[in-house]
Amino acid sequence: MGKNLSQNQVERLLDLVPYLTANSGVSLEKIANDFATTKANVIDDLNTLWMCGLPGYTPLELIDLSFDTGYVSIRNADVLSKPRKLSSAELSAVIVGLSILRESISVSNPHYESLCELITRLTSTSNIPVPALLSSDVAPEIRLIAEEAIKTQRNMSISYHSFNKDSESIREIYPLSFQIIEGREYLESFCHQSQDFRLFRLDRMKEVSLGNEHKSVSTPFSKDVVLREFSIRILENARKVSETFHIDVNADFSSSDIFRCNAFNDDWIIRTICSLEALAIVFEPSDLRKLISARAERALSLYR
Amino acid sequence: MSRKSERLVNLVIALLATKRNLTKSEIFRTIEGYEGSIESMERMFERDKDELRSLGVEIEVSGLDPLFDDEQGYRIRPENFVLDTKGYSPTQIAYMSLAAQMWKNASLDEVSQRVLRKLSGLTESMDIAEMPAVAPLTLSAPKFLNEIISAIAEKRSIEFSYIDTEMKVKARSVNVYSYFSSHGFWYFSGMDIEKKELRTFRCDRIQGDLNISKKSQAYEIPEGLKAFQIFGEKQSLSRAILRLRIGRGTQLRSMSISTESDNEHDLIDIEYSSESELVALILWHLDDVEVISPPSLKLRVMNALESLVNLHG
Repeated sequence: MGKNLSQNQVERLLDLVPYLTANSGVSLEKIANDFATTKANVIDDLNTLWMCGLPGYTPLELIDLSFDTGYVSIRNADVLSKPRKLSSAELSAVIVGLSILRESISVSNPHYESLCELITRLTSTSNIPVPALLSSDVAPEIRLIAEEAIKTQRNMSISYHSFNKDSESIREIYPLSFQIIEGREYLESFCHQSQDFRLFRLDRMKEVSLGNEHKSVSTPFSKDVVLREFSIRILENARKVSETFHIDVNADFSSSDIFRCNAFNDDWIIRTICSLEALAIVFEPSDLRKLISARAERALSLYR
Repeated sequence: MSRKSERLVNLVIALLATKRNLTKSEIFRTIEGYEGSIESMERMFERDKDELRSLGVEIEVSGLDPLFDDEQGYRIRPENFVLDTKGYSPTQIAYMSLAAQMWKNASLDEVSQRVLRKLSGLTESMDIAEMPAVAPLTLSAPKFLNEIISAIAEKRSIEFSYIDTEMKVKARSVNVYSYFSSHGFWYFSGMDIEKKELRTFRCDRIQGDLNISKKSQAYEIPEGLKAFQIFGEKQSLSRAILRLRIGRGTQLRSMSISTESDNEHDLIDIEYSSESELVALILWHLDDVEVISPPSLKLRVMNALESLVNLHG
């Protein structure tokens, strides 16, 4: 592809005719906006179209445009009045988009069947493949309720499993927005239990229900978080370690190199280092090293 | 610039409107904008054809049969030019608009804009209720998603540099079979041509460019490829017995098929497919979990704990 094809005037003109045919009386400003170009370009386009038509090029054959009022209408453009076929890149975006849409609603949703039909139709007339799998780990019902709660400004009651603490609790939250952090969906919310703003992972919510209307919303999420700093050495599988701790590792690293990291709490660091099966070790601070060694020792004592 | 655009649009209109193929001399005689010597008009026409084809306009050529001495003729068939001759229902147009809108402000923004423009040239679409705003998760599409999809569509192999587990960058060439998204990342899988094995790659681990081979229809995609195959996981499930502290290990409990309890512990029987993932999960729970069986799993967990103690002591 390389070139920015949307800048091509011919392409724009071919798309402009069916657009004007379907949206008679549209303003120059709206056209410029919809075609992501300037008003001057739109006027230049219209002046060019004005000279186009069927061979013969008499007023009978030319495209008839009126736009001197600032609102555009088009006549005598039958040959070009239908939108052009989608390119394979465009069709891919639509097919992947439809697949995600289908995945995010439940099978019982009235749109489910029709989406399947449309996807089948689009893929059968092209060879564009659908994604083999789209796993989001979030039950569509939970997402629906969360959306409803945000839209109608209501509280939600959730039973939530905290993986870090390995405990389950019931919380009353006021959801503000969806967030995407490292590929996970979170609900940024005000938690009534902790009287603070918290992020809740959607895939860890169970038994969700809509609550009462919430009156006022205080300030957005802006709590200062104190991060724990530590450093590690990598013994094996540097890619996995670098992706877990979000550090840059060069191809020529050695196991004596020391990488600086930070995290929200010690518990997460200890559990993460342990779950990596000694691919990486904590170098500093020494109190954290001792904690890891002690926790691992305690787990090991189960087997002795 | 406008003169050329005008000529190209006129060419499209004439080739679309004609019921039979137009010869070059007919084109030069009737279509506005072709001027000068025969040679310069020929050159102009060749460039125009190339430009239209690069925009995805299919121009049909006839008269290539050597047995007939006919002059070559050109036309654009409406069925190859317009979005869909059979038409879409207002609801279907709304679905497609929604699908395209999802990519707005994401990596496929420009493509999405073009789709929306084309769809806005169709009859009015409908507002659809009960349609959730979509999982933002999958919207962070990698920059190569389009290339990968078109490689699969046309069965072309691709070449790229890939970061391996030790952060070394290696050249790979792959016949791509499928693509998918999981846990917020996009992957594709296919036959690694050099290794002759089914492999899965994560799109964001590609470094630099991705080249698509010029040769299309270069391979067959095997039928019935399953998700577990593309992940390279074992299909068969193994069993393990774990002892959990009461009230702990929720994630492990969700995998259990049976539970027995005494005062302080639950004994759970679980099924798993990936040993590495299970080991990571067991280690995450530290002294809240003890492996009872199988012995191989128990040994692996013990060894890991021992190294952790030694390395941090």
